[in-house]
Amino acid sequence: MSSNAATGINESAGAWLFAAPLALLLAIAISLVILGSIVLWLGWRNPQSSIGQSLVSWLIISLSVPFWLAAFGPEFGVTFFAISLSFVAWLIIGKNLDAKPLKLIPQAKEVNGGNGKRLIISLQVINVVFLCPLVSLGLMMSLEFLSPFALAGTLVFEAIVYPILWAVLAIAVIASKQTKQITAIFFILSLCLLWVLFG
Amino acid sequence: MKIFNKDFFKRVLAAHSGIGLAVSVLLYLVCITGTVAVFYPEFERWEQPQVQEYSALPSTVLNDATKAFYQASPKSEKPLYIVMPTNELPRAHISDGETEFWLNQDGSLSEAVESHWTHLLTELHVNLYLPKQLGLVIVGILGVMMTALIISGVLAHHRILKDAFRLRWGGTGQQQQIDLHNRLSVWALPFHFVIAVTGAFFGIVGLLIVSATELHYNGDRDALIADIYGTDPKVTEQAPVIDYVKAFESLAQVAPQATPIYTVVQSPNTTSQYLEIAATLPNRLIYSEIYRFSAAGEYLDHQGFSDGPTFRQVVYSVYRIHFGHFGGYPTKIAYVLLGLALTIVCVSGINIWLNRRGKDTWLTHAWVGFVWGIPLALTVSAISSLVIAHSGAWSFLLVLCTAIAYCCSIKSTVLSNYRLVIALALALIALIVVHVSMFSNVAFTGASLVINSFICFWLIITAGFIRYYQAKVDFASEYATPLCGGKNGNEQGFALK
Repeated sequence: MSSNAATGINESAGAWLFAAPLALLLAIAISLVILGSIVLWLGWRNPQSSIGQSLVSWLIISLSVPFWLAAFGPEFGVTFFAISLSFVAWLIIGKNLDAKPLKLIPQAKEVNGGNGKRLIISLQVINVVFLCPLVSLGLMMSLEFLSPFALAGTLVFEAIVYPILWAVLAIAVIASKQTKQITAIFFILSLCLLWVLFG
Repeated sequence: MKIFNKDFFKRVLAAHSGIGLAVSVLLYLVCITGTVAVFYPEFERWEQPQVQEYSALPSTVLNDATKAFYQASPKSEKPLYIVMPTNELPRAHISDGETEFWLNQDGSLSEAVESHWTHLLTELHVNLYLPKQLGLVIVGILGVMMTALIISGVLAHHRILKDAFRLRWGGTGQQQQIDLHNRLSVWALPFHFVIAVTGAFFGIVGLLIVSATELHYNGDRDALIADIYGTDPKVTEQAPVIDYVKAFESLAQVAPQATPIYTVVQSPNTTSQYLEIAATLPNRLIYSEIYRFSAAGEYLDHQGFSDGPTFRQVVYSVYRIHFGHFGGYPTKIAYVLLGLALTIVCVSGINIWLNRRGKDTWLTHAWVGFVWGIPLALTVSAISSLVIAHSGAWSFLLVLCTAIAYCCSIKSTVLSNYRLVIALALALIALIVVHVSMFSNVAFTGASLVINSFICFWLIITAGFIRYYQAKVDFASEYATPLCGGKNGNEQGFALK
């Protein structure tokens, strides 16, 4: 039994949501996504539109989330929400595409690649495929002591974060101007990690 | 000093292009096979449509099925799986990992499972049809690179809000490719990111297991697995025959909401054998919960994928979210469309780079051959698999190489695109005709209807592309001279596509 009136009202509103028929919840959820997306698109089209209009459109879109959750539970609800937003946006984009007459592609002049680039590219490949994964692994393992989870939980967290960390390092390596220096540092760090693991 | 200045965007974009160029060929193969493989259970049924289908397999026949299996193949201590009928695969099969049979509803053995083309499709996606471990790691690295492409793509896209709904079509085709690439990738960002990370997880988790085993478990891999996935029950002096009926009754009492999807007899034909029943739970992304029973059918425990530590639930949810195996056909259709979008993002990325070069070389022609050669090769290999067993892989390779060689020889991207798309449409029609001719009595029921409709869907997409390329061919013949490789080997027209 609720201890105050406000809690009682919230509880009965929540109960209504979860008791509503699936078709109704789905209809409301999709309608809110469509409405919010259209408002967002209208604001995008209008050069004089304000940030407020964008915020309102995202608010309408996010109002659909409780209905998705009520209809499909937290795991599926969030998934279906994200999927529906993609499709609605694409439909709006497709409906309003800007078609132009066909034109020829201008031909480019010859551009020489340069042999110096081959060394850089080779080093980048070595970095991305071999060194970045080792350095990411080393980085994660050296920060394990900060993890609030038990060992098994930390390892699962690392398994999910690992590809992201590896990807970020790969981007940093390829975008950097100091490929040779980074390669040298990563090589040393990788050797250190291999020694710690198998030495 | 502003971090997000012009130089930053230029460098990140260069990184995005570099990574994309390096991996897009293989990434395209993984994406397109993944898109088609959303329906892999239906394809298995489509390849062998004559097998008996039913919605439930009584627990009373499971022992008969086991006996029949061990009569057909030698007894061993390899775990024995019986996969129960589900909505998407309403038939059962029994396997020890090497030998596999479909089951009739009375527990007798039906045909051997021979879904060769589906196996080709899933092997191409999971490990590029290479030796298992090597291919898995390579595909895992592709997942990491896809993650890098997504992150760098977002960072490099400084007009992400200004161009949120913009799609310019036509013109030289370059802006069209850029807008298509950006709109399809940005609006499905959560899906692409989850697919990339979960795909990478499958491939590279082995590296983590090796290092974590050495660092934390003194080389004891089993201890690490037990810590994450839970320990196996220790049972001794078990009855020689598994009491499936009692076990299923116990399951119904312990977990009335659980829907069994498969059973496994661990250490079969030994005194320490026990039964696992994997069952799905409503509205859960976990692949299943695993309930354990003694040989006498008494409930022992469950593994904790549904109510155990959060990390265990998370790690066991990766499969369903990657493969779209939840929510029935609406989710599958959504995953096919999202997968198609991801495939187009891969292709358009390379197209943008090729268009920027502004010069048609062998690379451009080979790329066209590869892009349309893959779906053409998949279709032709499906036809050959239906007609001649075990011919899928060879026909796939032959058609792909022929498509690439053809495009390189005619040296006209406009004509290559047009002719290959027509060839694909004809192959799709031939595929339906062959299947209907071979299995006319079941061609329009069950999974055959689903897959033949799925093929029709691809036919409609292909028809759209035929129309698109027809317009380009007409334009090129009006303005470009000549169409097929001029004196300089150049061509005025469109790099794609």
